[in-house]
Amino acid sequence: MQNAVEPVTLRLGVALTPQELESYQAAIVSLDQAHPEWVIELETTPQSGVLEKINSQLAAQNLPDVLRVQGLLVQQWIRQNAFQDLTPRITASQLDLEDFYPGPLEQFRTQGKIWGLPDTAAPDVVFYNKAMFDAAGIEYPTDEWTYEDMRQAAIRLTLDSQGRTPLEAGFDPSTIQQWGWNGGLTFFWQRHLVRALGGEFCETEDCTTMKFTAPETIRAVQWWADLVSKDHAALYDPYGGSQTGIPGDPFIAGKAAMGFNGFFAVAQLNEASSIDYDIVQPLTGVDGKRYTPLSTNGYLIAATSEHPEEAWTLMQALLEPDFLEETWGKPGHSVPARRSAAESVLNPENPPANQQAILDAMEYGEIFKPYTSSAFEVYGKTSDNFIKSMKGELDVVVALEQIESATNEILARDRQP
Amino acid sequence: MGQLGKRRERWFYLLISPWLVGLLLFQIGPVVTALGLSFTEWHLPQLPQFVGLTHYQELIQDHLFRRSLLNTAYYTLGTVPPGIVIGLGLALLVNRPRPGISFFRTVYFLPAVISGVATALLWAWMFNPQYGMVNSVLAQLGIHGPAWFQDEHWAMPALILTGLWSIGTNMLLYLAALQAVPAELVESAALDGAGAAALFRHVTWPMVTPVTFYLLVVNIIGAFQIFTPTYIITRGGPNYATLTLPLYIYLNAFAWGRMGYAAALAFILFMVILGLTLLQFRFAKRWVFYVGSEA
Amino acid sequence: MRTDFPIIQAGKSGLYYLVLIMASIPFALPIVWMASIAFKPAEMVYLSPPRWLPDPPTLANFQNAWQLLDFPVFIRNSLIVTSLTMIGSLLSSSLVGYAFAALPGRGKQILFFLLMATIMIPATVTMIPMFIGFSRIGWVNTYLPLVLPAFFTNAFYVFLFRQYFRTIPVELFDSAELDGCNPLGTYWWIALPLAKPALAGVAVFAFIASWNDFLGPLLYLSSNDRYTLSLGLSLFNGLYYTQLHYLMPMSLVALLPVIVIFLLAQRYLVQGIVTSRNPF
Repeated sequence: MQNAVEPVTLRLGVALTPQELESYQAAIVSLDQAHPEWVIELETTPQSGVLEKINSQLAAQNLPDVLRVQGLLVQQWIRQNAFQDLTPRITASQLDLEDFYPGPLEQFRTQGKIWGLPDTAAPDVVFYNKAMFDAAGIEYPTDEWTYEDMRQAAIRLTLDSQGRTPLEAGFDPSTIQQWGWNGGLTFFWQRHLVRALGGEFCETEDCTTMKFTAPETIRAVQWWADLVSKDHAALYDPYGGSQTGIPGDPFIAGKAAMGFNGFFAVAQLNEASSIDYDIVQPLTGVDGKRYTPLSTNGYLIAATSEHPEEAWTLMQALLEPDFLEETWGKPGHSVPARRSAAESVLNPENPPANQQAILDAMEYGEIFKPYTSSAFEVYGKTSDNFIKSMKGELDVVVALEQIESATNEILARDRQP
Repeated sequence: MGQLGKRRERWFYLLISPWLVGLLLFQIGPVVTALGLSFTEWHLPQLPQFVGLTHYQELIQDHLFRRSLLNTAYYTLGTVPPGIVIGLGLALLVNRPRPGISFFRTVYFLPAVISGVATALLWAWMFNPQYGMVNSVLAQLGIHGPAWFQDEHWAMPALILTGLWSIGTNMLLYLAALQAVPAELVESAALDGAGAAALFRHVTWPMVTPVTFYLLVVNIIGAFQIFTPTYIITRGGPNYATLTLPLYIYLNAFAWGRMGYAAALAFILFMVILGLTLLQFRFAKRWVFYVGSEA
Repeated sequence: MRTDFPIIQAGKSGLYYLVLIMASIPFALPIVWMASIAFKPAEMVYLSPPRWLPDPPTLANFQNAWQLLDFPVFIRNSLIVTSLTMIGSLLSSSLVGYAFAALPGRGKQILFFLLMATIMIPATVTMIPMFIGFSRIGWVNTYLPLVLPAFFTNAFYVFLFRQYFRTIPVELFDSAELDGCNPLGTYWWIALPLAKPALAGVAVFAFIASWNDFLGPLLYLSSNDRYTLSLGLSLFNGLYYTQLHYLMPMSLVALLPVIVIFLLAQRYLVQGIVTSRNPF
C-alpha cells in the first residue's frame, strides 16, 4: 500500500455534552483509523458558547471544514453563505433522501437547495407521571386522546396544598403543589400546539409574514391561556423551567402530571430522577392530525473549506446508518435522523415503555418557524407579551394584535430573497 | 521643567511603554473597528455598507435602548453605594487578630471567587418563588415573598442582591487599607476620649478615601457592564425589567444579527461610562486624601 | 464602670462572634447549597420541593464528573495559563502604575484617561475584530491570546497600583534617584518591596479573573486537551438543561486553588505590614 500522499487534515467542529462527547470521540478515532487519507481534528465548543464561536469563526473566515450545527441556528448562517451548496453532491452520490425524516431535512433546505444533512433529531412528546395518575384514579393517556381529553384529566390532576382539585370547593390556585399539564413552551414553539387546535401563526411558507389575529388562532391561543388561568390546570413558566434548567423542568422536578418535552428529558429522567413515567405521542389535533416541534442537528461544509471533496466523504461517513446507530442511537443520546438507523434508539431495558411514540413523532415533527436571523429579534421583542397573555395578565386579543404588528415589521427585512 | 525633569519625563514614557505597545497591538485595532462598525450595516457575507448615522438615529427613538440604560443605572445605583458601605463594614468587622478570623474573612470573600455562571445558577434557585431558600426563610418570618426573578418589579432587586453577594473584593481592598491606620493614632485618639464614631470620621475615613475612590470608579465601570446573570437567569425579562444595556448589545450583536446597531449602542454605553468616570475624577480632590503627595 | 472585668470581655467577645456569624449567613448559605447539591444522589438534585440534607450523602457526582471529562488536564492547563497571566499582570501593571504615580509627563492626565477608557468598552463588540486579528496571525487554538495581553497591562490593576504608589511620600523615591538610581531601579528596588499589599491584592484579582475567564478560552481554544477549567465546566451547560449535579461539585473543586491563593495573600495583606504604612 503506498502512502505517498500526505493525509489531509480535516477540522470537524461540534458542540456536544460530555456524555455525547464520550461516544463521539471514540467513534471519531475509529473513523480516523479506517481512513488513512485524512486526519480528523476534532474541535469542541461548549453548547452555551456556540453563537459567539461560530459568528467569530465566520467573520474570520476560519470555520472548520465540517461543522455540526443545531438546526435552529443554521438558517441564518445559510443565508450568510457560510456553507457549501450540497445539492449537486447529493444528487451525484445517490444518497437516499427518502431515508431522512422530512422534518429534520427541511431545516437544512432553503431557496430550493440543500445545504446540509441532519444526523439526529429530537421530537417533543407527551410525558406523564404514572404515580400521579394512579393516585387520581385516571387512566393513562392513550394514542386516541385529544387535547380536550388532556384538559379534563389535567384539571383532575391539579392539586393545591390541601389536595383539592380545581373542581372542588375551596381550591386555592395560589398554593398549587402539582399541575396537571406543563406545556410551558416558549412562544414560537407553541405554534404547534396552536396548530393542533386549528390555529396557525405563519401566513407564508417561510413564515416571513405572520398572522396572529385570525379567529381560529385567537381561539386556539385562548384555549391554552384558559388552561392556565381559568382552569388552573397548567403551569406556564418558561423562565423557571426548561429554559434555564433552574430548578429544572417542572415535570422532571415532580411537579406536573403531564409534560410536553423533548427527547432530552428521557436521558435526564433516567439518569437523575426516580419518577415512574411513560410517554405517548403528541395528542390528536382537532383536524385529526398530530403536530409537534422537533429540534435537530446536522452537518454542513464550510464555504471556505480547502478540502471540500474530503470533507464531503467525511460527512457521508458521519451520516452512515451504522455510525448513527453506534454513536447516537444505542447510547440513547438522540434519535438518528435516518429511518434505517432510528430504531437503534429503542432500548427495552430503560424506561419509558412506549418508546415507539418517539419514532412515530419523528414522522410528522416539524421545525421551528420562522428561523431567519430577524426571527430571533422578533421573538426577543414579543415573547413577553405572549407570556403575559398566557398567564392571564394581558388580554389574549390585545397581546396577539401587538405581537402581529411588531413581528411583521421586523420580519420585513428577511422577505427579500 | 529642568534637566532632571526632562530626563524623568523620558523615563515616564519608557516605563509606560508596555501599556502603549499593548494598546497599539491589541486594542486600537478592535476599538476603531468597533466604532467604525457603528456607522455600517454588516450582513455577512457582504462587506459592511456605510449607513452614516442611521443607527444613532434609531437609537434615539428605541424605547428598549432607553429602558436598558435606565435598568443599568438602576442596577448601578443599587449595587455600588451599598457595595462600598458593606465592604467597608465587613472590613472593619474582620480587621481584628482574633482566633478564627481567617475563616470568616474567607467566607465573606468566597462568593466573589465563584464563576459568574455558577453564581447566577445558584441565585436563580435561591430566589425561586415556590421553593427557593429566600422565600422559605421569609415564610418562617411570616412574610409571603415576591416572585423575584419572575416578577417585573422584583427582578431587578433580586439581581442587585445577587450582585451584592460578590462584594468580597471590596472588603479585601478595604482590609488592606485599614491595616495602616496607625495603631498609635487610634490609641491616642481613644485616650483623648474620642468615641468610635469620631474615631471613624477623623482617623479611619480619611485614610480609606483613596481606596474608596478606586472602588467607586471601578465598581461603576463594572456595574455598567453587567451581563452574565441577566443572560443566564432572565434573558432581560420579565417585561424587560432586567434588560441591561450590555445584554441588549449582546442580543443585537449575536442573537439578532445586527452588529452595526450593537456597535452604536456600545459606543453610547462607552460615552456614558466615560462621562461618569470623568465626573468622579473631577470631584475627587474635594474628598480624597492622599498621605503622600503627587509627583 | 470598669470594662475590663473578664465577664464583660467575654460578653463582648461573644457578641462579636455572634455578629460575625450572623453576617456570614447570607454569604455562606448559597455555598452550603452548592455543597448540598454536590453531595446529593442525582435523583434528589432536581426534585422539588428541594431538600437540604443529602440522603444519603454520596461522592458519586464527583466521581462520575471526574470520569466524564478530563479534569486533570483542564486543571493543569488552567494553572499554567492563570499563573502566567498573574505574573504578567503583576509585572506590567505595577511598572506602569508606578510611572503614573511617581514620574512627571506631559499629557499624563490624558494618557491616564485613555488607559481607563480601554476598560469601558463592552467586550461584545471588540470580541470579533480581536478574533479576526488573532486568527490572521495564526494564534487561534493557542494560549497566546489569553496570556500575552496580560504582559501589556490591565487598566484595573494599573489604576490600583497608581493609587497605591501615590500614597507613598515622594521623597522616598526622590532620595533613591539622588543616590544615582534611575526610575526603573527605583521602581524595582524601592517601590516594589513596599508594595506587598497591592501586589497581594492584584495577585488575587488577576488569578480569579483568569481562572474564571470563559470568553477568552471559548473563542481561542478548540481542542479538548487545551481546555481550561472554566471552559471544561461549561460543557455541563447543555442546550436543553444544565447538569447541575455535575456542575456544582466540580465548581466546588475549582474553588480550592483560589481559596489557597486567597489565604496566602491574606498574610501579605494583613500581617505583612508591621511598618503600618498606608497601603493606599
